[in-house]
Amino acid sequence: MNTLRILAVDDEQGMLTGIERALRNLQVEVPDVNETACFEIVTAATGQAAIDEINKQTPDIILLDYKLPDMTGLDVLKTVSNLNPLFLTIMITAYASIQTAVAATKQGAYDFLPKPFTPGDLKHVVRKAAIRQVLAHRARELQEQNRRARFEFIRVLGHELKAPLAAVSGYLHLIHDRDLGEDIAGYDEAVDRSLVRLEQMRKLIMDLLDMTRLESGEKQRRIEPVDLAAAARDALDVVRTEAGERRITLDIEGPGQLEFTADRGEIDMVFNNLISNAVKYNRDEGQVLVQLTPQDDHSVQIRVIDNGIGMTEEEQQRLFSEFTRIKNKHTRNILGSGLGLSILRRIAQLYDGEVSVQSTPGEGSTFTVILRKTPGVTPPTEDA
Amino acid sequence: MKKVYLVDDDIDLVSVTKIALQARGFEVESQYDDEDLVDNIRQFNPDAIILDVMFPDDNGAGFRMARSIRHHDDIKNKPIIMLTAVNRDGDFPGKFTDKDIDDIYLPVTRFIDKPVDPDKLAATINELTGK
Repeated sequence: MNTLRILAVDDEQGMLTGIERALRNLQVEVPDVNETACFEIVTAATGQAAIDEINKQTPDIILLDYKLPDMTGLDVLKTVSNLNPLFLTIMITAYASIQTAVAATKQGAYDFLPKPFTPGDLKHVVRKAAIRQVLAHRARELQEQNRRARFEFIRVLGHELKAPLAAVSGYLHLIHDRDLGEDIAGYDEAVDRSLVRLEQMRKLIMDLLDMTRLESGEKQRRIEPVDLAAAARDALDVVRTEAGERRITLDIEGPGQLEFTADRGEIDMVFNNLISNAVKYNRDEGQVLVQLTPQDDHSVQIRVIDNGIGMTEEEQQRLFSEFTRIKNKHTRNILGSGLGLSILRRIAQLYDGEVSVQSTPGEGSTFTVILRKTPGVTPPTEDA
Repeated sequence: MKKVYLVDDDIDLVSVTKIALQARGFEVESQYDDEDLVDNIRQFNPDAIILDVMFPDDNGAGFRMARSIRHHDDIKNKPIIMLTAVNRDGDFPGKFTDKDIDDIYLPVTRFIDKPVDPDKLAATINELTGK
């Protein structure tokens, strides 16, 4: 329930009492945002009293009599014009002349109520103003939330970019200062680690671009029949060397060919993210199993199972937030952008699907992605 | 040889700082998190402690470690140098300076700005531990 503050300004006490009575129990439904507004009414009998009240606490709606004992309603509006976008003014006037209307509109009045008016007339203009104010409040809230989310994203991004920079610059300084003396292998290690951290930075930037493109909806999608089994095999090939070095086995189960209408680039991102995580967060001599299961005519289940280090409940809950990387003594050497699963989830959403995880610390994790054939994703027709 | 204990969550920054300090004549031991911190410090018995631990999801980690060190009589007088970055996390207006140090909440001995100049770090350790 939104309580909107209405300031009623009139020098006739009878008018103020009538306004209060008409609006006291009024409730206005705002269906678009599923909210209800009710009203708190304060009154002022002179222009100066109105100005004082407005400055003390800005009302949401002002019912302002044009003709006041000490000044006109226009003078009141001029005096508080600095607060104007925050409230809506309904000008009450006995002389509904066109000049008054134009002048009041110039000062930002929102609506007019010609005297004499019925309680029904009053409720009608107040209802209109109230809906507008509730929507405006909501829009401001959303804007503020977006601003904060954006700030938070950039703050963490800054941190994530500074960490590899600090590492590389540290290594370059120690090479420059010959801090390792004659230890050539030590210098090689410094260069190798610098390259690893630069690669991490590059990956972060690439993931960031992918994510931004997915979010903006401006990515060119090429929807065509994609063989998911072939895409999975390609993604396994990407990690084969790394897996081999750590004696991790890679297997795939399911049909040798599984056609699904999709953008191949998006499908590659799904498999690459899932499979590279399954290898990175595995243990030496672990296993990675990719299972492809057509669910029915319209959806497909992709499951990537590892028997690696696994995650706690708490870690699983944070997993899909941007820049979350599970940090503990098992994962300290693992570098990632922290965006892979955010990207994965966004892609799943494009296919009306979802991503879920089951995991036990020390035993491994299973990621399940469901992709559905969605109305927006249809293969191009011959004549298109 | 003066002994320095280093805590940093980034494996590369630990390597870099360790090598730079070793090249300047210090013996350095390190760890990446707060596990067994007090016991490890007791065992190594360093002349100074360097903390750089402000994860994006846990700004207070370094300060909690400093406080826990100060709570143990046998190690509480060891100088603690905390590495800090200008507005690194946005949550703190500007950067910490030595003026921000207080015995209860920020019980460190000295702040040093990042990126760290190893010569300055070495000079600060020497100053705090007596030549």
